[in-house]
Amino acid sequence: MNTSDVVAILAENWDMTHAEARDFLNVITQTFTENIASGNSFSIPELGTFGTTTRKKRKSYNPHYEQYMKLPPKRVVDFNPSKGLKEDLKQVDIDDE
Amino acid sequence: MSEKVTFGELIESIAEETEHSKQFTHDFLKDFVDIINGGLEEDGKVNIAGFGKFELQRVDEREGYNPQTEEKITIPAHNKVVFKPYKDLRELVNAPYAHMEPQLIEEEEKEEETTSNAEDHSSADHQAVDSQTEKSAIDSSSSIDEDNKQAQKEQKSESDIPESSEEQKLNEDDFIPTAPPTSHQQDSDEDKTSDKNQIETEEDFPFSFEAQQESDEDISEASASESSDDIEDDDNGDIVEFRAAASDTEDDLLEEFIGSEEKEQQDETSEDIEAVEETEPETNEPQEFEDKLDETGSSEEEDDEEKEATKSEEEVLAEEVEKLEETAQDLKQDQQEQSDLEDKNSQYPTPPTSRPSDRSSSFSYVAAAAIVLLLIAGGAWYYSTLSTNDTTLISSSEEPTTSTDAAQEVNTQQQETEDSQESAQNQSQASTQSSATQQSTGNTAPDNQSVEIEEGQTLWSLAEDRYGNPRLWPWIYGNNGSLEDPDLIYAGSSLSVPLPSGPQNTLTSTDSVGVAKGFIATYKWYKSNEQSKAKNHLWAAKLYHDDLQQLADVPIDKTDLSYANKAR
Repeated sequence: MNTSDVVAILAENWDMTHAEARDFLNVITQTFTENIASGNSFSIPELGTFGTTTRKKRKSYNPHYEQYMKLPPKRVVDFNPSKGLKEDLKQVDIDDE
Repeated sequence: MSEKVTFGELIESIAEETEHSKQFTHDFLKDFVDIINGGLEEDGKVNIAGFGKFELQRVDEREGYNPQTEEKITIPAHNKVVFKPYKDLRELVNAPYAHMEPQLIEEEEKEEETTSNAEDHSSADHQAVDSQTEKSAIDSSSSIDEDNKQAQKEQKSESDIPESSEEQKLNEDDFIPTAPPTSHQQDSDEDKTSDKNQIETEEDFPFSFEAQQESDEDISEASASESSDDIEDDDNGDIVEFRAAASDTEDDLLEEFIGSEEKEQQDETSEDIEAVEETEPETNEPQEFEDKLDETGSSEEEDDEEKEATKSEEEVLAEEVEKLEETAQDLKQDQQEQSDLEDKNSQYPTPPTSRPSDRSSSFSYVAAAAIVLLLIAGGAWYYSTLSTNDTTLISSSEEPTTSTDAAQEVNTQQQETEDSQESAQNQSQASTQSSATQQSTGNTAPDNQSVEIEEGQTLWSLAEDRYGNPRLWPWIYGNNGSLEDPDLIYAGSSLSVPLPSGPQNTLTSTDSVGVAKGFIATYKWYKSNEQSKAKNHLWAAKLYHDDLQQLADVPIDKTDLSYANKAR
């Protein structure tokens, strides 16, 4: 499912044009993005919690070149699906690509 | 950071921006979430452009155990929801660490770490090694591309290794921020032509901000030097007045002796005899000298002041001279008094602080001798420190001479002590100015020198004095954490000035680390106060130390860092 699909459904549900729905959606994702990027965490009911975690720096090994690398610390987006969502989707069959 | 934002606040901010009601926003968002859930259920992934991708991932059945009951259980196969952020979001989130890049660990260290971190890498890595060796045996012949890649990689690693091995291999745990060199060149070609021009013109000393710096100095000096010039003029005027007022006092004698001694030091041997001979015929009566001594006694403090005034050009040296005078006073006064008393059979061995009105000429000899000795010693040291760059003060010695027996005797007695002094002084003259300052401060602290700031001085001029290279001024700044504005230092406060530990003003590795730290300190200040100049300081810091990230205790701006990396 792509953004355009989501926008189409939203536009239909709320009786707005696609452009309006897309704009609204953009604002929502923009707000999410800003909050995540600034390190805030927030939870959306029935979807999950967004936040950030920091991966520690570590050493890695490239077996091809037999080289060790030092990898710097990294901050990544952390998403924890809500319990309901998790349970609902646990047993759904996925169409493998 | 890491603040918890409630759903209500989120709705509020979205509603504000879209100018819809909160209720509508809430319902809309809820619908959006429902669509995501529906989409996930439908085909396992929902792609929201500009934000991320929600996806279902299959997790196979696996063994696990309940940590509470410690029972083995089988976790059934299931799906899990995964959110994969878009690149924009990933980069935004990782912004604090974005300047760090993976760093290759070199061969020697690799061996150490394979042994030390054997536990960490453990079986997985070793298996990987084994499989790798087998693989490479199979693959190496077939794949040309891989060979090319390897060759490239080796080139890269070769280019990486000398960088860090040239410089200190300090704390290789941290990450040298290295951007790909090609992109650097492109960048520098494209957007830094002006800077490049600056750099090219200043290849000898690649400080692209020299011009800015000098203009800064000009500004700061212009503000400070106007007053300081006035003060210097005043000082000179004072000196003249002093001389006029106390022209008959011992001070002139002293100056003469200092001058003569300086000549001696210049011409080593022959002229000191002449100087002594010159003073011989012009002998004054002891009584007269006693009168002078009264004057000088009262103006002894003034003498000191005046000396400072004459040496205001070299304020810092004056301080050293004073210290040396004190030590010389302690050491030589005793000797002098003893020898004088023996020679002259002094009748009044009273301490020089008490001044009986009926003191005899012999006591005046002693006191005069002591004072003259002190000042000569001070002058000698002063001369030794000035010998490289100053001849103006010597000219002041060419004044009418009115010498006394006492002074003459002192002078002859001086020869002995001077000889020993001179040998030391000649050594210091032979070496450079920096070693001279080192010698004078070597007693107290080998690395740092405490310097009192005088009016008109700048960090720039201090660095020029100390290192012969004014551009090292951030070293001083970095060594004094109390300083705020690097363009603003206050007269009267004291600075701890680091001295180069290498000979001939060369910087040792620890010195260059200190210099780099200084530049980072100035970078930090300029970053928060004068953004445009900051990157130049970082650039300069990069010249002195490779691993800026390790030196800096604050994250360095990415663009500044990439600019600085061009220094390599």
